[in-house]
Formats: sequence, structure tokens, C-alpha cells
Amino acid sequence: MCRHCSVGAGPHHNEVLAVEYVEKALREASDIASLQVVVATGGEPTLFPKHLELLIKTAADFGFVTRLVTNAWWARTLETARRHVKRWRELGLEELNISFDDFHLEYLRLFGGEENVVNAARAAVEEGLRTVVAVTRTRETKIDASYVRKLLGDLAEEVIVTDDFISPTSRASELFEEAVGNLPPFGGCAHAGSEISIHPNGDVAFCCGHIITDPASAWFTRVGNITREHLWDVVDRIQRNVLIWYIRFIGPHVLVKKFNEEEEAKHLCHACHLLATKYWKELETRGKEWIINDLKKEVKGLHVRVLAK
Amino acid sequence: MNLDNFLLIPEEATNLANDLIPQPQVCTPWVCAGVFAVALYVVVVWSWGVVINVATAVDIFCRVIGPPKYSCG
Repeated sequence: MCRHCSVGAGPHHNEVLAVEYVEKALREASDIASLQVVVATGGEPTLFPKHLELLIKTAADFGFVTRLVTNAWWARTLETARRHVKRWRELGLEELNISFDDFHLEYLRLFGGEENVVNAARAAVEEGLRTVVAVTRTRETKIDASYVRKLLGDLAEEVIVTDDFISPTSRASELFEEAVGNLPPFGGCAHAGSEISIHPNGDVAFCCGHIITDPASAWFTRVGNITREHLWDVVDRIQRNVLIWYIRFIGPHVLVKKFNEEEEAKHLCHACHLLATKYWKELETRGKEWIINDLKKEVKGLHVRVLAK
Repeated sequence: MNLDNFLLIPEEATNLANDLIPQPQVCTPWVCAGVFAVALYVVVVWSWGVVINVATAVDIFCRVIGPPKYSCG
């Protein structure tokens, strides 16, 4: 299994959201104007072709922008890549996001190799999809964005290539020493509360970050369940949770530092992981009123720092 | 374990949001009057001052150097 997987995906996880709830979630999401993009991700969503096709078609029918995140195992030849991408395009797919790096390549070789990435990207560009190759890096990895641009050759100008950094959570916690810290100098997590993820058991998380499936810290992000309640109710609770406000505007790493000056979070998601595990008792004891007061204090400081900048 | 202990009731959420969002600075009558007075001073006094100073400079120039061909009458 990929050593860098911060969401703990692998062959032992073969669960998927039931078809009836895919439709329910999208129908309810379509009434929330701020939700505009639907992303199929995993694990590897192409391992569930019927669910994937239903998701793309239903989301497109409701008017969402649609994105598929995949490792391109299905693109051994250009012909097979074209066949898959054409089918998804016809169903309404608008963006193909290919995950490729040292860690994925170890297993991608079983289904071809790095040529799969070129084939998938070429097929996607030919079909007019927005195409992205996302690279995950540590201090030790060789593949980076410039490597991918060379690999893509003539396609490089039509494909967005991004560098991302590992979050040392779940299996990736073993790569802690290799992880590159990339916390912003100040500012919170743009994803918290502005994105939601829906999981195979129907749980809804307030973000789509690295700890959403981590056995130790996933609970921290889960705020409701689509099988038992309306998505509106879950989103309403997200919007009224002051801790999520804090994570969004100030950042979880700021709280971690307040609880332990010596603690170094490597990533915003790692900071949330620490809050959910090592510092949960501390956070729970301080409680809502403390968070409200500290949020007011930090926001005041933020205005001054922005002005000073 | 869950985050429900951090839920705000709707009224709390509205009040906190109002506290956190910086309110626009409303111009008080005295501030407006002050700004207007300074603007008036700049337009009327200072601009006339510039005209007078330029006229004086031309006058001195003409007296010392002599009239150039196309100006100073």
C-alpha cells in the first residue's frame, strides 16, 4: 500500500456510499448555493465504475462542476485511456485530477508505469477536460512538478501540475521525519467549513483534509450523517460551530501552540490531528467560551497584522 | 466524542459574527466638516498661493534676466 497515504486507503477498504445516498446527497447539496463542485475521490474511485458513473451523471445533471481524482491505473495505453475519458466526458465530467509521485509510481508499475499519466492526461486534454497532475512530496522524493512537466512534453502547457506536501497522518505518520512543514506564517485552513466530504457510511466531515479517515482523529471532522438527516442540518451545524470558525480563520496550529509551545505541527491537517488526539482533553476542558474569547482576541490581532503588512 | 460542545445557538452566532467583522468607519459630522475645511483651504488658498508664487517668480526672472522672447509681455 502507498506509504504516503494520509487517508489510510488500501485494498482492505472496499466500502462505498450506497447508490440511494449518492442521489440523496447530491439532491440536497444542489439546494445549497455555495456548494458548486463535486469531487469523486478515494482511495481510487474508478474501482467502483457504476457508482462513479452515477455520481458524475447525477452531479452534472444537478449543475455541479465535476472532478475525478485518480491514479491513472486504467490508462496503460492511449486507446484505453481515450475510451474511459470519453465515457466520463459524455456523462458530464469536467476535470481530471491525476495523483502521481514516487509513492504512486511503486504500484502504478503493476499496471503500466509513468506512461499511464501521459496517456490519461493526453486523453483528457483531447476531450477538453481541465487536467491536473498533483504531486505529493517529502524531503526524500525525486518526482516533483518539474519532473512531471518534462514527462508530459508537449502536453505540459495544457496541464496544471501542482506540488503538494505530505501530511504525517494515518500511514504517512511513519514519514514524519521526511515531511516538509508547509504551514502558512499566519491564517487558517481555507477548507474547513467551505468543503464537506461524504463517506461510505454516510458520515459528513467539515473538510476534505488528510485526517477524514484517520482511525485516531477522523471523529474530529465528522459532524453528521447523510443516512439519518438532511444535508442542510449538517451544514447548519458546521456553520454554527465556533471551533470550526477558529480552525478556518485562525488555524488549528495556533491552538496547538497555545497548548504546547514546543509542539511543531507539520501541516494544518496534522495540527487538527494533534487537537483530536494529544490535546483533545485540554481543548474540551477550556470549552466554548474560551474559544469564543480567544477567537475575538486573535481576529483583532489579525486585523492589526494585515494592516501592518 | 464530537464537537457539539462548541455549537453556538443562532443568536450567539450572529452576535459573534458582528463582533468579528470589522464595522465600516462612519464619518462623524465633525470629521466631515474638518475634511471639508482642509479641502477648501487647499483649493482656495494654496492654489492661489501657487499662482501668486509663480507670478512672482516670473516677475523676478524678467527683472533679473530680462524678458524672454515670447513671454513677460
